[in-house]
Amino acid sequence: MNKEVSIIHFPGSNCDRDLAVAIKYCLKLKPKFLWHNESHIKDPGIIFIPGGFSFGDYLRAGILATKSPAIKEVIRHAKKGVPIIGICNGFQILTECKLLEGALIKNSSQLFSCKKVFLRIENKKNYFTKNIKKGVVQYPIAHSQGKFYVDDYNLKKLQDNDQIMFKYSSKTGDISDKYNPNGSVQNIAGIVNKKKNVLGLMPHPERAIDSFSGRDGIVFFNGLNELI
Amino acid sequence: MIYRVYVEFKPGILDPESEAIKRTVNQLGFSNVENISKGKFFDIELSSNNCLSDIEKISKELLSNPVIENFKVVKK
Amino acid sequence: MNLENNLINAKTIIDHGISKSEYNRILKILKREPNLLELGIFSVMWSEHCSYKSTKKWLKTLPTNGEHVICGPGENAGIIDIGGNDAIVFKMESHNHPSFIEPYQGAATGVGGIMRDVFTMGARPIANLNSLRFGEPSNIKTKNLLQGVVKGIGDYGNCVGIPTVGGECSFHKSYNNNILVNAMCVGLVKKNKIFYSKAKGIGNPIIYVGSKTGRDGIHGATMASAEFDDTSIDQRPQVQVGDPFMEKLLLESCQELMKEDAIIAIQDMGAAGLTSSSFEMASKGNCGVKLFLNEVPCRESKMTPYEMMLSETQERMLMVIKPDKKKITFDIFKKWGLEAIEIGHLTDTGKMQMYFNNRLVGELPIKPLADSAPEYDRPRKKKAFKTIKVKKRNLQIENVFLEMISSPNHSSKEWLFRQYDNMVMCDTIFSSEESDAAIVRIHKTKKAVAITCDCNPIFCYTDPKLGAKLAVAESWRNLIASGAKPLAVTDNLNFGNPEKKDVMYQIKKAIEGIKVACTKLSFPVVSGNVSLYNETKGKSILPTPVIGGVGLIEDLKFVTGINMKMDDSIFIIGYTKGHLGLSVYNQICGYKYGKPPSIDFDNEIKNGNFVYNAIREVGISGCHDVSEGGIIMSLAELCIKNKLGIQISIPDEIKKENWLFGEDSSRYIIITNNEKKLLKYAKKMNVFVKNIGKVKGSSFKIINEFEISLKDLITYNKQWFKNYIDIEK
Repeated sequence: MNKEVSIIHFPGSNCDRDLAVAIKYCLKLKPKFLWHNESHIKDPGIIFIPGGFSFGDYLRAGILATKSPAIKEVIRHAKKGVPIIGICNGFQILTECKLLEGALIKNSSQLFSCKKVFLRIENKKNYFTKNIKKGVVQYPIAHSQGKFYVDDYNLKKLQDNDQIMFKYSSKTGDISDKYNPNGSVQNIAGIVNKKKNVLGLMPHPERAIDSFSGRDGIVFFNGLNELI
Repeated sequence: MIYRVYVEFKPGILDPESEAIKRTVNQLGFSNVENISKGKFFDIELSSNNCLSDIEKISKELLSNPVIENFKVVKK
Repeated sequence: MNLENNLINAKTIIDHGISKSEYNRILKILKREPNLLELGIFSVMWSEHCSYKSTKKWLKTLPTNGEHVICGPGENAGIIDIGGNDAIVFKMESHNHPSFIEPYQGAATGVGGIMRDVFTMGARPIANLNSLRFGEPSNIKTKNLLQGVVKGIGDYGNCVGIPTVGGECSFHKSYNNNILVNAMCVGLVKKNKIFYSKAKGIGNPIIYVGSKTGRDGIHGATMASAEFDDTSIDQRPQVQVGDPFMEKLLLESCQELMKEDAIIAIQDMGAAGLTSSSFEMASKGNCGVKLFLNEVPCRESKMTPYEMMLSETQERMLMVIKPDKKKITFDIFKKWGLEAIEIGHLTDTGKMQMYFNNRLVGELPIKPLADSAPEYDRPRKKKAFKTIKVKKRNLQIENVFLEMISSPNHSSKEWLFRQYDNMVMCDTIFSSEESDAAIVRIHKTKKAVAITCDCNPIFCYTDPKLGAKLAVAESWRNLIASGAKPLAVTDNLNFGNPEKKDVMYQIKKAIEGIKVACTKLSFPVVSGNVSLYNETKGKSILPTPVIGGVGLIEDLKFVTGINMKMDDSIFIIGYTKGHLGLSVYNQICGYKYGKPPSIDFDNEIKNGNFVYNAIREVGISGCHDVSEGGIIMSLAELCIKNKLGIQISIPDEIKKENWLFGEDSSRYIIITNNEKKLLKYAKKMNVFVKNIGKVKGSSFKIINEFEISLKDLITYNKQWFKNYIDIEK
């Protein structure tokens, strides 16, 4: 693996700096920024796709970004097994370009929602989460189109293949509608692809890396150490 | 040549916005309104004819998300 | 001179809001009749919004200097020094009329406009706040306006990626047909990288970048300066539509360009669009301008010079750049998908010359037009108040309290704040729900700024001078309570029609009050905005001079929230006389008359200094000021925020109601477990401090009075918004 972390950013990305700060703080390395029109990405290391409103989120959140040259490269690398992490808008982009199952649609409340939520880690067999000791972590969410939708057939496939990674829960890990901030199917907050090298999640671990905002994000990034 | 592409939610996908519109319509006194579903359309002007396949491609790859939406192309 | 000769007549002049004396002034300046384009330009440049003609005389008296002030009023925003190479740029601006006509777009473009004012100066915005006033909740329009405004503010700031960290929101019937949407933006800039709007260098190109010009908002500036009538609802075509994505592109591309040594002067095209931006840059630099209007990118066909000059299409910037930096300028904008266009250049004529289809279509002298803008000393008269004898409702303390915490004005604003991304940029320490002032860290440092906006319009209505003083003092107090040293303010003065004597009296008195308070507290006014004619069908809003305060916390270890810990002691700082005039208590009891609480600035400063130092030297868990609703309201907010119970005893020497609900100024609640140290320090500083109880249990308990479980307290406090929004009309 390369000693490299890349952040792909688009016009309208706005969590790119926050992500870079978190990566620098936790992984002690400076991420490489790749602009959306990058048509040849060599040795990217881990690829991050940050939150924000790529291309204004016009048409549907994430869709316009999927047509950029950099995402074609992301797809190529994904097939080769490169670890890819999409957060918030990054998750939306990964579902729109079909690297991940399902779709992210308007929250049930129809409103943007910004708050801290608890997430139960559903699966620790995967390299994205196996080093996280806690069973439940607390990250902020900030989105209006974060309701994860998938039909029953594909939901079963996600379950059978252990692709569900995070679910919205209580502090103690209870899963119920009460703890579902956006109406996601089965409280799903994050999933991986079948090959388990592409992760998408709506909550923001990069917003939980200091004593003021909570420190649960640190374990998320530190856990990636062996991948780089 | 102008084509109009209609995009709407697949049946079964809950659209709270349409639900809210329907409730308001009912409250306005139209108690016979049982369902409202909304969608959007795009008018696409082409310089040459017989490009229906291009329009289909644009609709499928960009204008709609097959996971949640259906589309329909109509010649204007 | 061979000018386009669009005929104007008496009606055209009136339609442009130009008075007879103003028209004579135009004739004197031009020594001829203006054509339609020129008349349009005069009308926006001399509108209340751009010229401050009714208030300039009084605004000039405000204190604007201080050791921290880098740039006072007159630029796009004010700038203060926060040590090192860092400076803070901030301003508040109203978008009241547009938000009433189209709440979503009006509020969104308000946020966009104020952010451009800040980033034009080279700063990166780091926080947005807003001060909102709506009509009575029962008014048929209120719910729709509330939902639209909040969504508009949220969607815009969220998309650009600037945290909306707080503000205030309240309801009063005087705003039924004239809501207030005041948006404040705070930005961070390096002191050696500040950009101003003064144009210089004959021949230097003038560059236009951003959205294409459409017919939106033509005469927006004149609209913002005229009273409403019933036809206002039909003014929709004038409404500007916001494009936060374009704003984000402008922000990032301008930041990138500002790193190059390319920009000489820069202005955003806000109210009065191309006209005010080009006139302001040229008049500050004492130069002339040639504009080639065929170059202006237009969104609609057949746009006339008049429309181009007056359009208020959002998300556009105008800049003067160094000629040898044209290529890099165009390249950077291109990288961000924007097209920059040279639409003219600077000249030495001192004139604004506008060309269209190779013809000179308008020519105006720049300096005289700006300098001889009218300035009025409008007549004033104090409004006589009739005091009607009313019987107070005789209510139990517990009932008043429950009514208060579940009332629209004092219930939890969670429904609003959830819709704002208050954490993006990862430097938000506390939103304004968590501390008396929102606290935002200066990126990569241990410093933070505290920000608040405040006004009690009920106080201002009865006594505008005292009310304005109290608004400034509350802003100052909120900064102190958050651990900050108060540095400077921006003011947003919202009033009715200044041509009415009683309104003009309110304006003058409120400015006087701000002047006194800001002088006494060494809290200079560095930027501001005036919004007049806030009235509909002759009914004026309550005078609402909103004060946006900014302070500095030199080290993150001193940031202070509305926090408490189990078994802490609760202290009141400052003496409680129990003033109930115009208090929330009296209003709930049905008694709406009286005077606002008085304020003694020596005492204010003494108590404030004590709290400031106690935060640094005693060690405290949290601090909260005492304002609307009195001690009991502040205590309830502490319990709700921390989900902890308290037990409080009422002192014997005062009437219970007065002690619990009195709204005397200059008071704070401090929560600490260093009781002895606090008392010793208070004695040394000669400050009145009283231990009133403890953080204990899981209920809100006033000993010998009433007790309510935390769960019920929280339910009471949170239910109003939820019920109001959820219930279908």
